[in-house]
Amino acid sequence: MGVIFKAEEVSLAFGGIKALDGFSIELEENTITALIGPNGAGKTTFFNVAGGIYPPDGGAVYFRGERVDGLRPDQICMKGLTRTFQIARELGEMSVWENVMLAPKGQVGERVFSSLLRWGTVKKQEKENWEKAEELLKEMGLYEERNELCKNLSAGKRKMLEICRAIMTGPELLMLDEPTAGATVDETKSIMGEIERLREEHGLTFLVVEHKMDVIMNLCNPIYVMYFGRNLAKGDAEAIQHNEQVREVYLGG
Amino acid sequence: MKKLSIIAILVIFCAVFGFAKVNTANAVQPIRLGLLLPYTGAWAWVGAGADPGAELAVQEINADPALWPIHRPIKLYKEDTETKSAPAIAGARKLYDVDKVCGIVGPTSATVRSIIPLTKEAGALEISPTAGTTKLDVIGGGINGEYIFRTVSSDVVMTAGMVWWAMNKLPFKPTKAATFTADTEGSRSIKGGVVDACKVVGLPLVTQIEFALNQPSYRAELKELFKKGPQVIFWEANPATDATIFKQWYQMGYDGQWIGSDFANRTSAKGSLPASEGVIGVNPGVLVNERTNAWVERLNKISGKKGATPFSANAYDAVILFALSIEKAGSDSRTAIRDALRSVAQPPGVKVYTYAEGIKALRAGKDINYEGIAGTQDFNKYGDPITYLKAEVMTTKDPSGMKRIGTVLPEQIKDIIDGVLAIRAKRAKAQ
Amino acid sequence: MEILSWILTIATIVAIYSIMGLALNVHFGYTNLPNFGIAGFFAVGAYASAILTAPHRFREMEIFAGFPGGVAGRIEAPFIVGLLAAIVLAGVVGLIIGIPLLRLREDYLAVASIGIAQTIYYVAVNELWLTTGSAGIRLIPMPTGNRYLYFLLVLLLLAIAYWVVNRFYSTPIGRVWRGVREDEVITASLGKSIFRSRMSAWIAGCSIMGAAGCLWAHYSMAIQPGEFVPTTTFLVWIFVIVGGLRNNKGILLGAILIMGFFEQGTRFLPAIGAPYIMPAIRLIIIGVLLVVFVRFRPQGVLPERHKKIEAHIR
Ligand SMILES: Nc1ncnc2c1ncn2[C@@H]1O[C@H](COP(=O)(O)OP(=O)(O)O)[C@@H](O)[C@H]1O
Ligand SMILES: [Mg+2]
Repeated sequence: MGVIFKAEEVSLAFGGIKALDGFSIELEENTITALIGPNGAGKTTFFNVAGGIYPPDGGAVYFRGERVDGLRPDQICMKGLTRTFQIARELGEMSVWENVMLAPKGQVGERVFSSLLRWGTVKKQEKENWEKAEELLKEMGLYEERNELCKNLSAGKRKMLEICRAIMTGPELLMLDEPTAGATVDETKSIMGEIERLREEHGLTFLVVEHKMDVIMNLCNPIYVMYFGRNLAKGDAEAIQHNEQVREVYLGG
Repeated sequence: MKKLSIIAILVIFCAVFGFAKVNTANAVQPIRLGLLLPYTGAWAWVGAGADPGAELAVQEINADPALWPIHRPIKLYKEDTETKSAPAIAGARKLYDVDKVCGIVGPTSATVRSIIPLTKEAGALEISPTAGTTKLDVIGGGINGEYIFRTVSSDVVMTAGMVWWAMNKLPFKPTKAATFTADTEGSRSIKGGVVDACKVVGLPLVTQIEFALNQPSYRAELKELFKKGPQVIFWEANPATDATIFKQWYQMGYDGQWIGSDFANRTSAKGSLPASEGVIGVNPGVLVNERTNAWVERLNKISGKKGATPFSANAYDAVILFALSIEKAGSDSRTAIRDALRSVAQPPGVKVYTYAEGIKALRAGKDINYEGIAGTQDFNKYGDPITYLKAEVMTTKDPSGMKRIGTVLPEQIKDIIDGVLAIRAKRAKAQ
Repeated sequence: MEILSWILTIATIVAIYSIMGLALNVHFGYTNLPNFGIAGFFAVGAYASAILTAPHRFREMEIFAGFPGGVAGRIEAPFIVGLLAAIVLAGVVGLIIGIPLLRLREDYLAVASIGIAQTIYYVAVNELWLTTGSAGIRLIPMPTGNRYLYFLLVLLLLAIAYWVVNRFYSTPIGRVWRGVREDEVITASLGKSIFRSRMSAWIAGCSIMGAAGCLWAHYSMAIQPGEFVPTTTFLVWIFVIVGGLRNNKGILLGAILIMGFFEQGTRFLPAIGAPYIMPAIRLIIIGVLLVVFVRFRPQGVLPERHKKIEAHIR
């Protein structure tokens, strides 16, 4: 097992606010790592830097040994790193199936001329992609809503859909920003199950921002704690729970 | 939703075409004549100006049933071009196919080119009362002078008038002239005419300058213009630009007699006087005599405005020519009318000055030559007439800013025009 | 049955404008690129084909009138060459313009595209050697010889455009375009280049507008810069919005209703008062109609229709 993702001393300031202040993290391949910290700690900002939305002011981000900070979001995704958003953002005027079918990479029909001329290939790819999507939607309990417009989904379902979409890009590293926020107990379970299954069966790596402690404690190892844009602690569930500093700032201890 | 839209279509369809089938069972079928003008859009003022002229002509033709052409009155079918070619085509198509007009009076040069193929297909006659650019001299090659005529003169006529005035009516005999024109197509057309006309009369052009409109300063251009000391400057711009040019020309203390075209008008004078005192404009204008004055009075009753509205005389002449051609042809068949036009409009017939006079002469078995309000309406081989021109001078002494100082008659400039057309024919052959 | 001939004229014009409406759907309906420069690309297509296909006689006549003969009339290429050139050139112009334009936010894009169309208009007016200036190009041949057959040709091209635009909608490229329309950040995070997607939609739409321009040039047989002014653009916008933005059937319906029945059909209403009153009222009503739709039914008569996956995959 090697390091798939590494961020070194990443910093980013919005005006006067140092949202990231020399934050570093390393992700081992085929693990589920958690990133926790109080609100405003900079977790989402870190996702945005890693996902290419903001270039960092300082520091470096590596994916599979290659520097990726400063690349565009689509370039980063194409390298195998897909992220989701804290507040589920949906393509509202598109149906659920179109949302998930948008995600797969290497679709021949995304080029103008192939779309018009290569009927057979496009059709075949669509069928293959739908087979995958169908299975995923069933597992995540979204199959019934496949023809529904996204704007008509509940908040929890939107979150599920976002995860499905991310999975459909076929990533090696998935960065999920509060995947279970707003989800019901059942939905949370199926999301957790899916994460574990993907890690086991497909060898995926995860970085998860979470607030639900039970989720983190069962699922994730190691856990990074972030505070004011800096590293505060790292360790397994046991160690973090007993860390004095963490209890102070985060667990309200 | 689908059903609703289908119903909507059907309702509108019925509403629209229901109106189409109304007046059919009249004892005397009127002769249907199309009037295709821009009533809306950029050139709406042209449509508004020409329309009363056509109305007046129809009123006079229909006044006495005994004098109706082929014993039927004339009815105008009007369509709007919106100053755009798609509606113009649709309008012309409706006139020819649905209203079944025997010919069309109109449209303007903005849309006339799109209508020519339709007129040719219909085998009809089209007389434009307003289309004036030089390029219409040769429009459609074999078509013009066959299908397309106009009762307004081309820029060749106006520029011949400008040059003629410079050679014959100034207190001195010029030996050096210059052109000073905007870089628009209209102004280039004027410049082209002036250049050829100067060649014909042997007036050397020492400088030719083109400029962009609406600039804050023309000092550099004016300096260049007067370097070789031209005595006459043929110019065309627009009123706002004229104001700048003349103010700066006056300040810079240059001499020279400016002669302009139809853009040397009252709007321009108001903006550029007193700097432009003495600047001359030569452009189409009706004669000043009893006949014309009476005509203007009759027109005013229809238009509700004072004076001759733009192109009203040209539209009037066009409709009268249609009526006389129909009588001459003895039917309202499109081709017969077309074939009859020249034999009522130009020599060798006896000159007639009104519709009534003309139709009586025709019924007496005579050949006629209609002399219109806007001009003699004698067509050359391209279907162009030489209309009357007037010369005006910009002056603060007249409250309107311009005073009429004379008239240019067709016979005075005919030689220049023939010379220009000969130069052009030679140039085309050389290519 | 000569009324049929007139209806055919209207139908031809409506069909050509419908093609522009479909292209606007690719731009705005699919990809949220508010193109207010439609007239410009229409002009590029019209001029490209007119310049290439104008007969030698046109050039001779230009020279007769005292103008320096330009490019138009030198080549006298067949119609098909003109059509392909129109499609390609409108696409290339779209590409060049798109490089700076497509980086702008939608509202700025809308404003900038008006400017672009204006620029193209000025090129048409001023580049005499290329466009012969504001007098335009005449004697453009109608390829089928008569306008009945030409209508069939226009109809064929409309059918092709309709098929192409529909196909775009339901293939992956249409999903990407609509993803860009709904949320650029998400779509980018799913590995789709926003700039490239916007560009492909932009070029595809521009090319289709170019094809419409070519069809127009060969129908009217004479073109001039004055036709390619913003009113052309707004007319397309109006019928697209009324008929149904994002729905290709709606766009055809809008073109028929607004351009066919309303604009042209009202020529049959009896004249009220002065001859300019009816046309003016017609324009006012069209304006009011637009406001009413934007306010009360922004999706148009026929709204976007989402395909079911079962129908898609079959
Ligand atoms: N686009 C932005 N502009 C200005 N400040 C921002 C922006 N995004 C985040 N911040 C600030 O950066 C800090 C970190 O926020 P965030 O990364 O969302 O925290 P977390 O996800 O850990 O709750 C906060 O103080 C937030 O207000
Ligand atoms: Mg956050």
